[in-house]
Amino acid sequence: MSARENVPVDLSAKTCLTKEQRLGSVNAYHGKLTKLVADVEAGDLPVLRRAFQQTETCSLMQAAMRILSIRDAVIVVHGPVGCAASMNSYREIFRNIPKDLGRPDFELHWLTTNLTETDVVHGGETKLKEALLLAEERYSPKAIFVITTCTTGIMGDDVEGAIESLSDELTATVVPIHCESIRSAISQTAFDAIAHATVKYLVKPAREVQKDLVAIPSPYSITWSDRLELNRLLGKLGLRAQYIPDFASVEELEYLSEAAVVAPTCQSYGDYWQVALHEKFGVPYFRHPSPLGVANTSEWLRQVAKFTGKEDLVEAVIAEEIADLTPKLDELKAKFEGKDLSLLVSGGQSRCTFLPVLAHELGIRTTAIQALEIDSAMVEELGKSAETIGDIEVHVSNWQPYELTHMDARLESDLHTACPMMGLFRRKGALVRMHSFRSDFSKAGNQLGFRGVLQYGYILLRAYNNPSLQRQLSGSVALPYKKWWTRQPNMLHYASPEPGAASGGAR
Amino acid sequence: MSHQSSGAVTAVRGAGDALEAPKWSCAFGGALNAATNVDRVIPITHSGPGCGQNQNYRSYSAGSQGSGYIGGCVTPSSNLGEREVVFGGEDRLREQLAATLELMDGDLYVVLTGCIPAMIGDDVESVVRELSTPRKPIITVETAGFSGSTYFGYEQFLKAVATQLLKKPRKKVAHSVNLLGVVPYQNLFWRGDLTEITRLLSRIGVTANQIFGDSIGIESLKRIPSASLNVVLSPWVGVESAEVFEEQFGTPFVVAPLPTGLGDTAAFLRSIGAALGIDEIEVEAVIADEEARAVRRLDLAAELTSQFSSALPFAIVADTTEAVALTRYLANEIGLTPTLVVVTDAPPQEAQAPIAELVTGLGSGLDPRIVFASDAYDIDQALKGEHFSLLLASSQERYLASDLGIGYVGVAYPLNNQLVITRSYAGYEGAITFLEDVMSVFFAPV
Repeated sequence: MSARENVPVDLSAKTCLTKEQRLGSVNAYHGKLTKLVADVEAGDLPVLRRAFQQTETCSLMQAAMRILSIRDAVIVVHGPVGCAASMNSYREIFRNIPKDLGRPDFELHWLTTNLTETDVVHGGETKLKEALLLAEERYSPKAIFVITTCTTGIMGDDVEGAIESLSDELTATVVPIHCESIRSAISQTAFDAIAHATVKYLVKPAREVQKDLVAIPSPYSITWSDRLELNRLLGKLGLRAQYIPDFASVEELEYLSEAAVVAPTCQSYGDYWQVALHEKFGVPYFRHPSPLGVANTSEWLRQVAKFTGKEDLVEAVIAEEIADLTPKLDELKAKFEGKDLSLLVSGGQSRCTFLPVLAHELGIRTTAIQALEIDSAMVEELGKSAETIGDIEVHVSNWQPYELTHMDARLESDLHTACPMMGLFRRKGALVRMHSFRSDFSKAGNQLGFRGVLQYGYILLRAYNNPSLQRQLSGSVALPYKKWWTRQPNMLHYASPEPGAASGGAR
Repeated sequence: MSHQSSGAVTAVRGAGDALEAPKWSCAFGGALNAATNVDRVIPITHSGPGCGQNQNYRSYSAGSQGSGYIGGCVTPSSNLGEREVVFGGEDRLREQLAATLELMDGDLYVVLTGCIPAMIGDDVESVVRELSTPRKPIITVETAGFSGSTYFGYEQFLKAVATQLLKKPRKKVAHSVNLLGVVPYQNLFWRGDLTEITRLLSRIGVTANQIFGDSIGIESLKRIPSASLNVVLSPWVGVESAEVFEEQFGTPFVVAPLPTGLGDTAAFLRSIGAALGIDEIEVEAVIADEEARAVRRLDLAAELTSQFSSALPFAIVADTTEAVALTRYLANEIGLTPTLVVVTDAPPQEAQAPIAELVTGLGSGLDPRIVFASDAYDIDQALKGEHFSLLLASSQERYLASDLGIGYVGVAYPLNNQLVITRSYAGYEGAITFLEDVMSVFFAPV
């Protein structure tokens, strides 16, 4: 285990440490996998900053889209109206999931304090109180999540004080999540801020441990059909899943303390939930792997079984699943044979760590991974894959499509999984989706578990066999970067060491 | 709710209050959504790291319209952090601008300022002045998010173009107009609507400069001062820009709301024709020709539609432009009964009575209830008080319709169940498309 084993979280603090502070996270790096592992172990990761940057995302967006499906809660975004803009779609998108696939009833409501120039001058506490009272009056929610913004951070609004002053008037538990993006260059710090605030304010001591309850922090990329697949597998072991926090009720979150284990799907998203629930309530957890690919799904189930007393059952379940899967998988693998198909993996921590292994199981070679941010916890697991997937290149960038475009042009991989809003569908090979999203209930939206391997494997195959859309656009649509960009060799051309920054890596 | 003299009702919660799920965003977003839709304009967001992506994401919430050349995650940005908040963001902007000029291929560079530089007091203009050259001009749009809404941001962009890029009047080109007031994404069908208006105006000999969404890039901005008339297609958005253009370039303007259907489109063409002194006979000939085709199509659609039109009292929840155009069309030409019009874009107080007037006395004297509301709960309350079996709204209201078991067509932002690229509900062509979309919901064997 790595040096980060004993990094505690401090739930008495208003919010979490930043990812930089706690895990030595960085969002700019390029090097071979083995070098990365060595750099992290030595605590020698360079902290780079870019002179040229593109818009990325912020803590607030990272937090908002993840918590807004909590069933009997209201969200208040405390800031100017635009900060809440990206929340406009989700209520409707989630309602698309059919009820007969198990979607619970919910009404998702959010408010913005809609700060104006006058509020910025005079302070926003009055409007925050107004919004909290409106939420209470309209919906009597069990919890109200308050998300702060850069603007309220700079204004110095006393959010906790404003909430405290209403304690007699609100029946809801108010959970302030600090999402001032100016705090951290790693927007994923928001994941920790959600977990910190929820465990601090909402989660209660256990009444009794629920021995069959597996809590699963699930980021936005865990689809409804992924849940169905994980539920199916856990069901075979006589276990139930509680996903955190999507579609959970407030009460279900309140009793996360009763889970038998907190099982991972994405370290960047889930690590703080695990550590905080463990430290405050003693809930056990395991950090790796994600249930992605055949070997890692098997290992994930074994780990779950270990903490739930199902060790006697688990090997039989895995054997049964693999017996069912093997002929179908062989049929799929035969279609990849002799093609030397190459895949460039761009995505978040979990997919970057485990998709190359899944691809290897199918006979697909990963050329490189491009992660949004890396930290010591991710690299500890990624390092284990080097033997399987080879000493591939690792690129880290908080979006920054100009760098991804550079790497893509150099590697010319058959398939690339980049985010569609980066414009990389204008390439010669296929742009294939990295994963689908929380609201996807189609079978093809399933990537986790055993069945997910087949679903995603066939997506990769079809993408490889017919990149006609990309070819149609490649070369016909002008890119916004000048020609010199891809003609010079250095993808990190604009990055240089941050003056005065401590190194990243082990903490 | 307080009653106005026009009979319209203004919801309790106004544009400056805490609001539930408003459909519009901030000034910064309005300006960015405008800037990214002029080809080869390179916006640089001088703001927090997520502001650009958050606002660019509105293209997705508007029917997944795509990020194009410079939207999505591609927009250059200073991505301000703690250091800049403490020490100021000017050095970071200078560095970012210099690198952007070096790397990004564009014809005009536009710095959009968010909340942070406004709060820390960055002198953005002096940095821009240092780096701007005639070959690579840079302008600044002041759009602190807290300074106003999407609509204000749209105007801020146009005003910055006028005062910093164009500056001087140019020789007027006869029979040419600029189209103002259709805000990208906020008006869902902006691209298709501008195309249809451009087509119609060209038929009466008028060259329209749509400014946004065409392929001529900053040439469209450069043509602004040479238009002989500015046409404001919203009853209120774009008026401020038109006033600035009038003062600066001496260009008069008319407010001629975006039309849908035969009557309003003919009236629109007549009003533009009259303002430009175009031969009435020529205009009438075009109207007659377009109407002949439109009437034939309407006649074909009437077989299904006539079975349903009296069974479909309807409510609409939309920005002023769509609310007015679509309500008038369905009431005046298709035989539907409007029961409720909810206007969601928070027009200024003085604009509300004239807007209400446009949706009053429709058909043979129908007066729907009119509510001005931006707050989702207020909107929901207004809808709960009315009877309707067709709801024209944003996808936020879509599930209210399905819960009620009635028909729904998405006509307003946000829209999360259609791909929108060229769709238009404007003019003659758009009217029949709109009717197709409405009647497809009710399609059934006769």
